Amino acid sequence: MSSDLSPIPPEADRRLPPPDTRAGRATRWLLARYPVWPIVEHLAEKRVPRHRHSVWYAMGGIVLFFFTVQVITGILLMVYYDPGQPWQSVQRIVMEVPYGALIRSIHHWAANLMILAIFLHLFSTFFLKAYRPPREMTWVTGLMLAGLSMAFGFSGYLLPWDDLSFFATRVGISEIEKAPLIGGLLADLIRGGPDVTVATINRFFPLHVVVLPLVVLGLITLHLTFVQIQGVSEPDSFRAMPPEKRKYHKFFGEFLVAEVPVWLALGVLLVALAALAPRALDPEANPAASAPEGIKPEWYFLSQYQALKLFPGSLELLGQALLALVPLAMVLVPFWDRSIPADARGRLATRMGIAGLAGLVAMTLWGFLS
Amino acid sequence: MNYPVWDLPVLGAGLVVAIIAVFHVLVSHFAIGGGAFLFLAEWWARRLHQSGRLEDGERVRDFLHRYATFFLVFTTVFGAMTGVGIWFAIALASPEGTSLLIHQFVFAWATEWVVFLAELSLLYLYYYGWKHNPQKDQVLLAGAYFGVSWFSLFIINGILSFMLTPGGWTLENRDLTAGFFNPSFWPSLILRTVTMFLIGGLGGLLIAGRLESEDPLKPRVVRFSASFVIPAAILVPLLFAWYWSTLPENTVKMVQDGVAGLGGGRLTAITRHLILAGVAGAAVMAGVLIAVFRPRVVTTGVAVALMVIVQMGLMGAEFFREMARKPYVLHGTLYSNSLWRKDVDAGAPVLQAPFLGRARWHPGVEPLSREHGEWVFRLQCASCHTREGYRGILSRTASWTPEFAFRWFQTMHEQGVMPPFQGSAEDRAALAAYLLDLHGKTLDGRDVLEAARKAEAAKAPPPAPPPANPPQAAADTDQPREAQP
Amino acid sequence: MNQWTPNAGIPLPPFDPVGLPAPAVVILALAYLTFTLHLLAVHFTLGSVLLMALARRQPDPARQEIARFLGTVAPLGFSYLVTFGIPPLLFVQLLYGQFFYASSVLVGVFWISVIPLLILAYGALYAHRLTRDRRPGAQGLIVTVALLGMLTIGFIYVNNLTLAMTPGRWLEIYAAHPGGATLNLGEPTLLPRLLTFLGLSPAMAGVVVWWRGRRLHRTPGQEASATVMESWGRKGIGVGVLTWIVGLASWVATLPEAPRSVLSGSGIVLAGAVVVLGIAAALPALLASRGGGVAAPVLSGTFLALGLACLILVRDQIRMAYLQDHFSLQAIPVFPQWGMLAIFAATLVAGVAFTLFWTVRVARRAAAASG
Repeated sequence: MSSDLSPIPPEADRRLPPPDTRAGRATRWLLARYPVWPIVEHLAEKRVPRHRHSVWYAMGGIVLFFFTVQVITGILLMVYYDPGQPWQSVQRIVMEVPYGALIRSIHHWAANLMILAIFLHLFSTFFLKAYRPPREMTWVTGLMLAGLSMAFGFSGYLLPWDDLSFFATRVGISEIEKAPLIGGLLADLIRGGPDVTVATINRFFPLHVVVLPLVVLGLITLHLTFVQIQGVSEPDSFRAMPPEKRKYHKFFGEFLVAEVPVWLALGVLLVALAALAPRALDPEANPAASAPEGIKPEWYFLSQYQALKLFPGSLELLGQALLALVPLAMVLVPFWDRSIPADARGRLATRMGIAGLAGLVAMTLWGFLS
Repeated sequence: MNYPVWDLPVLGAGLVVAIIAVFHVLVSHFAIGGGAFLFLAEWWARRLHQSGRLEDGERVRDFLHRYATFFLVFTTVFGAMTGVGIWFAIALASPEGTSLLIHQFVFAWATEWVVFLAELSLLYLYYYGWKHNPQKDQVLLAGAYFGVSWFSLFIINGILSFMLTPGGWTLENRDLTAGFFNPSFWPSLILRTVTMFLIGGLGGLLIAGRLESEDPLKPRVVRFSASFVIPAAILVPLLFAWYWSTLPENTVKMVQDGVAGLGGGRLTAITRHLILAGVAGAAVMAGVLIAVFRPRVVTTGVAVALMVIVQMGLMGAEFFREMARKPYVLHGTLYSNSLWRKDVDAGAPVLQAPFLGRARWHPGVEPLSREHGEWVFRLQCASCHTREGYRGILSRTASWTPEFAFRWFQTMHEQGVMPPFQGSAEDRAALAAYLLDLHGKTLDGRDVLEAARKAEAAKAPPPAPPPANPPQAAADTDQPREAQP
Repeated sequence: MNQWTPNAGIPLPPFDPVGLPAPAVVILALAYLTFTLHLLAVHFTLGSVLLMALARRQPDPARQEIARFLGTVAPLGFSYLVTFGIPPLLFVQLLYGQFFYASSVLVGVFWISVIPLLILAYGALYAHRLTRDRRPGAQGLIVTVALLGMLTIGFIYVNNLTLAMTPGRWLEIYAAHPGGATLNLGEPTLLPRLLTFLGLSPAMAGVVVWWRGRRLHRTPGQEASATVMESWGRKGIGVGVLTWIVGLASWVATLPEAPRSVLSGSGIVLAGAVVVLGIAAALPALLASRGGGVAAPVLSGTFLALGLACLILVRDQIRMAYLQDHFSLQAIPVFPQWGMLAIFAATLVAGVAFTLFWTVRVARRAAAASG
């Protein structure tokens, strides 16, 4: 009985469930059609180093957990959201739809916590120097994902079309407008006109629920594939240990399973936040009214917003140029700081990172307080 | 209203109580359930010794010593101190209610104190006698500690459940037995007993997390700990159903209004917290099942995550219990703003008398001035509402007009969530003006009276606030929907 | 509209509608007893931390041994000081709740901060005990935190309890600080009271160190440490009693007219007893020779405890004198709960007997094991 079915590798035959069980039959059936045993074996062998920084290795999984929550709650919200009647439909979600207020609050809190987790993931990767070769592209895709997540936040913020979201978006886009040469054009393109109107919603909505999810999903797939191919990076302090002292977790059997309770806790945290501090819906946006006092962008844009205030008037261009340098420098770091273990450049990068983190925190706090 | 109101900005006195209490509930249940854990684990170790498996027995005792050190420091430093903390905080948040509890139950409390003193001493004898006590004594001491500490739960449970369901107790008969063994006493006691077993088991996971994953003891300790958690996690919802059946009618209605009529699916705070408790219970169950099937992955992080879940679940449950008393601090007797039910029953002569004449904790104000409204707010509203923080009044009044506010104060108690307003028409006008003034509208009580008079004269229903404003959608949705114009 | 003008009188809340569950004299007796135990534990613990802070700075083994011993017992002392603090506070609220609750709200922010301070100080004592061998560097800071925490708690207590006795100030303070972020700093007796009710601390810890030193004399090879311990303990007693008497004198000097008049009446006997007992406690410490039995420290300790008990009686008479225009215990309705009182008494006897039985049993084993 000749066929094009692939033979089961002996190694697989040994490690799969026995062939007379249902699971054994199913796995062999699949493996005969999709000969992916080398990949399975690679993944099963994947190890995570055990050391005192291990907690930081959970951050990527936490981001992914929040993203999953966002996808699920986002789909549920989309069932009732109507870009033609943005505020009214959100009001209906909050007031009439069963558990709508809860789902909306969870979506809100998961968005914020996801961006917070991204920051933690980014900085822990940076300080553990996991960006160094051969992992440059993981770092770069990660940075792109961070930027896109903030775009997610920015576009989602406007959708309820209440006072707060309207004015905060207007303030945000007016910062873009100040950019040289293309600023005006870009701002008009985003807004769909000279001011934030319902036309802006018609742009932000597809961006938020179609374009960004597709791009982000693609990038996440790439990002995770890179990680799976190259394995998790080992910090210098771990590499410096004698081999017999280095211990590892299995990635799938141990590390990932141990992370599930943490996700459960974060899921409960989302419900707790939704119970204690549900997301409010302000009165419907009234573009004719004057902006309420002290309107500010969301906290993850606050540091940039505050930094730009340091450059008044004609210095504004300079400020924007300096701010634009930050992401550029971050993209370039792995191509400059390459040595394992860290050399002088590596130490300098760490110091710059600390300065950058301190600046970020200080600017954000200042933005809050001012 | 005989006492000053602690007008704490942003947090409000109620949240201070909640912050301390939520933490205390976790630690105090751990202090009892952990006692059961110590007792059973000592017994286990002794059986291992008796069956000749000396080394295994020693390893279990090693593990137990770590558990006991953590237990001792955690329960005495955080548990005992936050317990005193709740007492401090409730006396600030509701002096009148605390005074009543103390005067009614002082000897119950004093008895609990004796029990606590014994509990503390037994724990020290157990822990500091570790080296020299024979194993039989250790088993007995741990067992005695558990029994004694459970008795302290028995006593405090009587007082706690009394506040929600006083049963046959009244201010006139002061019937101690009826108040103590009140309708929700037994379900509440058993519910808490089961919960504390659950937390004691999680404490075991916390220490097991520190064992190396290769350690052969680890799976056994994890499963031993899980055997406390899983039965409890199954029983809690069943016991809650029993507890639920003993709650006052208006509490049940309050929760059901939050979820029922799926057409009106807005969730009140009390319902949200109940959901939180349920979700947390399910999550604990899932987490512990993972631990049972993969005991070697139980790290400190995993155990802490489970503890955090339980902490949040308890927060939901305790917030639920506190909110279930609304609008009372002592059900049927004393409102949460220290208004006595007997004064309400006395009717208009008391209830509609000028408020600041009855509540004497103010320096004297110009009638209908901003200060007048501010003191009415402080002495009548501030025990529950802050201005812009927890249960902030600003977000709840964003859409108010003078006429609406003036009229609403007269009917706000009809939903069963707020106490009735105390005071004259001038008090209402001054309070309305103060609240609108907080929103930046310049007017005083006289303007409110004028607006109300005009609305009355027009014989039309008071004008609704601008339709663009959704009052319930504001920060919290506690406000009854029907109360909106 | 005279009903909105300021109150002519004082906004004194009425007595609780439930009344008293037992005759006032029963409650007073329980309050005196438990408050004495509380103050003993306070003095012992605060004194231990104080002596420990001084002893640990000196490298010689005898002083290190003192610091070690005190560091081991201080957390236990702390837990009993809090536990014995509960019943007096319960009974104060029962008898003087009208005054106490009102003043607590007026200083609410500071009053509630007692709780985090307790956790901080108590936690610091355990942190010291559990990490002193691993991290010697941080110990100075940890001990300082515990000491300052305890002193701050004492200061907040004195503020609240003096404010509870001066209702004339209430309205003004409340109108200025409705959020409770204030203290009763205008009160002249604050520091004298603090000195009176904490000053004995070195003496109380001194008694225990002295007792320990005498016990240690019996252990061969420990004579040097024992001698240093004895001298530290006796010095502690001397300093403590002196501070106490200075505190007492300054308290009497700053008292207003009415409460001071208590001391010219029957109170003079009690006040005299306080001073005599204080001096009697100091005498054995000054006169006793080195070595010998534990009778001398026990005698000192007994006199100190009796002195504190008398001080508590004086204190309550002074409180009644402060409040005489507003309050009388005789006027309060009593609805006795004899059954509940009996349950309490039975539990007390049973609980104490059970605990003592086990304490003796465990202590015997430990003594047998250490030879």
